[in-house]
Formats: sequence, C-alpha cells, structure tokens
Amino acid sequence: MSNFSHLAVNDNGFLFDPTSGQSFTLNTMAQEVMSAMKEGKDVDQIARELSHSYEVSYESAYEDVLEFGTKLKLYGLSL
Amino acid sequence: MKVGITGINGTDNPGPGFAIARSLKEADPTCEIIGLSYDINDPGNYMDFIIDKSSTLPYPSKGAQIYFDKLYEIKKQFGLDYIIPNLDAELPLYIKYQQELKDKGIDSFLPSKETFELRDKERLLKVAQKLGIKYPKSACVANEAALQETIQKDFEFPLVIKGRYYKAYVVRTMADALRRYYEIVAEWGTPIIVQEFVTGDEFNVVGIGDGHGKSLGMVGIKKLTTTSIGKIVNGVTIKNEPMINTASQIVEQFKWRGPFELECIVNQNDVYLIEINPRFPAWTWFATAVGVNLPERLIKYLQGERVEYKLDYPTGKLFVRYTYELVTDIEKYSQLAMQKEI
Repeated sequence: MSNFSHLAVNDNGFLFDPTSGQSFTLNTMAQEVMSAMKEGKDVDQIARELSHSYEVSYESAYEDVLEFGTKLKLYGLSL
Repeated sequence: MKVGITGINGTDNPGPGFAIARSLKEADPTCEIIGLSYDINDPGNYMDFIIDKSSTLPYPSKGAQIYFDKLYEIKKQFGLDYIIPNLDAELPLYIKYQQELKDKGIDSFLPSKETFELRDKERLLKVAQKLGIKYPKSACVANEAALQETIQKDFEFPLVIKGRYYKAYVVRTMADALRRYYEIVAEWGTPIIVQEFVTGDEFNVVGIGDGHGKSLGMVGIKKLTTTSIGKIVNGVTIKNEPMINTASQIVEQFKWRGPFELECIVNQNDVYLIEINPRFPAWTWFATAVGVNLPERLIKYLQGERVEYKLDYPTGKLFVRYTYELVTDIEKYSQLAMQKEI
C-alpha cells in the first residue's frame, strides 16, 4: 500500500495535500478507508472491517477499497 | 533604524512595499519606514499606520544622478539607513549603484548584475538547464511579422504571450495573440516572448539568498485564485519537494544574493521554470504571517547578524487578500504634490 502519511484529513473529511496544495472532500466511508490506510492497514484488512461495519459483502468492500486507491493515484495523492 | 521602501503602489498590480513595511513593523514597531513612491496617488503615501514618512522620487529614467540626489536629500533630512527596492524597473539602477549607496550610508541587499541578468526571460533556458529542470519552449519576437511566423512555424495554440518583465497572457487564436502582443508592446515595449503553454500546478516560492549559497529562509505556496493578470487573491502554504529543491539550487548554484520569487509549474515530478523575480513579491507578508519574516531577516543580515535559519514553516495556512479603504485629508495629497513629501 502507498504512503499517505503526508495527507492531512480533518474530522469533517476535508483532505489537504501539503505537497500540491490540492484539497478534496471525503464521505464518511472514504474517511474510514483513508484513516485505515494511514494506519498502514492493507486492502484485505480494510475490506473486512468495512464489510463488518456496513454489512456489505467482503468482495464488494474489497472492490470499493481498490477503486478508492485508484482514485488516490489518479489525483496524485499517493507517494 | 530607518528603512526606505519602494513599491507602495496599489491598483490591479499591488506593489510589495506594504508587505515589507508591515513585516518590519511587526518585527520592530520602533523601526521607521520611509515610503518612496513615483505617484502621489499611491496608497502607501497615506498609510501612516505602517509607513511613517512618504516622499516621491523622480523616475529612474531621469538618470542616476537626479534619482540618487533625491535619495541623499531624504537621508540628510530624515535619515535613511537601509533601502529595499521592490520594482523591476528600478532594480538595475539600485544594483549598479549599490556600493555607492552603501558608501553614502544607505545599505541594501541585492543580487549582482550578473545574477540579476540570469532572470531575464531570454536567459532562463540556460538557468533551467543548469538546474536540471525544464523550461517551456520559448522564442523572442520584436515585430508583428516575426510573431505570426514564429507561431505558425514552431508553436501550437494555446500559447503564452509575455512581456520581457511584466504581463503574460494565455492566448488561443492568432487574433488574440496579436491583440496581446500590441497591448504589451504599448506598455513595455519589445521584445515579446512567445512561450509554450505548460499544464500543471503553478507554485511560487519567496526566499532570500545570502550570496554565499545559503538561504535566509523560504516559503512555498500555491495560488488558489488569482486576478486576471495572475496576482494572488487566495493561496495556501505547501511543501513541494521538487519546487523547494529548485529554489534551494538557485540560492546555492548561483550564489543568489537578496530576495527572490521563484515561479514554476510542477506536473508530477517535472518542474518547469517560469520566472525568477529578483525582489520580494507582493505576497511576502504571507511568509511573515507563518513565521518566516524575510524582510526582518534581510535587515538583520545587513546589520551583521549571522543565523542558521531552519527552512521550516507550517503547511495548510490560507492566505486571503481583501480590499480595505482609508479616508484622509486632501491637505496631505496637496502637500505631497507641492513639497514631494509628507
């Protein structure tokens, strides 16, 4: 998993990238995924946690986490 | 301590003078600021809460003798220990005569003539090559025919039409290019630079080089919103490694002496050099507000203080520029017009 420790995320889900000055808003689930990623959890761990807390299938949660990771790369947010 | 500051003009292209005066006053409220302007309408002449004394100067085009005689007269009358010139058009004069000024007791901290010339838009390609970064494809033209021929032969729209020192416009058609060409020529003359339009994030750095390869501090920002001529309205402090590395290299490799503003465009890891301004920018107070008071450091360096400054500042600090007004008496206006000082 890439490094996201440089990103600043506040309690409202406002994400600021101090290397580019770009800012984004995260929904509740994206905040949880980002928080887990910053803790160093892998896709499998995060998908299991989401599957449990949102009562969705593990496969669906896994795909969502992967898609979120792809978006972060697309926006140049992963180091 | 008495410090003379130019660039106390407002309008759509605000001068850096206010930011410097404010920074120096915040560092030392007893510091006396002498505002030096070329127009009695300049707002700095009336901002007595940060500028203690105002005086008008003759234009640099009147010649060094007339220009500096006025400055020496100001020194004799009010005292003047340091000067921080902030306008591109006057810098060559101050750089040329900086030793003479120092001999007369007015110290300044400016680049050498050689370093100053590096920032010439015609020489930036070589600077970029030396720094190992990119420079957008550019060409100088001096007449309409050359402009059209150069664009048709070597460029694609959109592209950028720039003045040698001031103004830059993104244009999308030949008609637009010609319009901007004549607009800049009318104000600033030739040559005009035709430049490739580069996409990416525009980042800026303000800093000071000590002339020996070290920095007295620097702060990097991203402009979030700008005016139609690219002046910052909102901005945020950032730490972009390629950008900070480029600024550090300029200070180190060119032994940059004095203030500077670096403008570059960063696209992933590609850094394109856009401009190096050999002076403080108008947003200098932003750096002061996040703990890096560069005008204060400049004066202290001139006073002999040698400090190893940490190149650190907080990221995510937001700059918001707004408009404010003051009302004063016409008497001050009249006094400035008639006696050239208030």
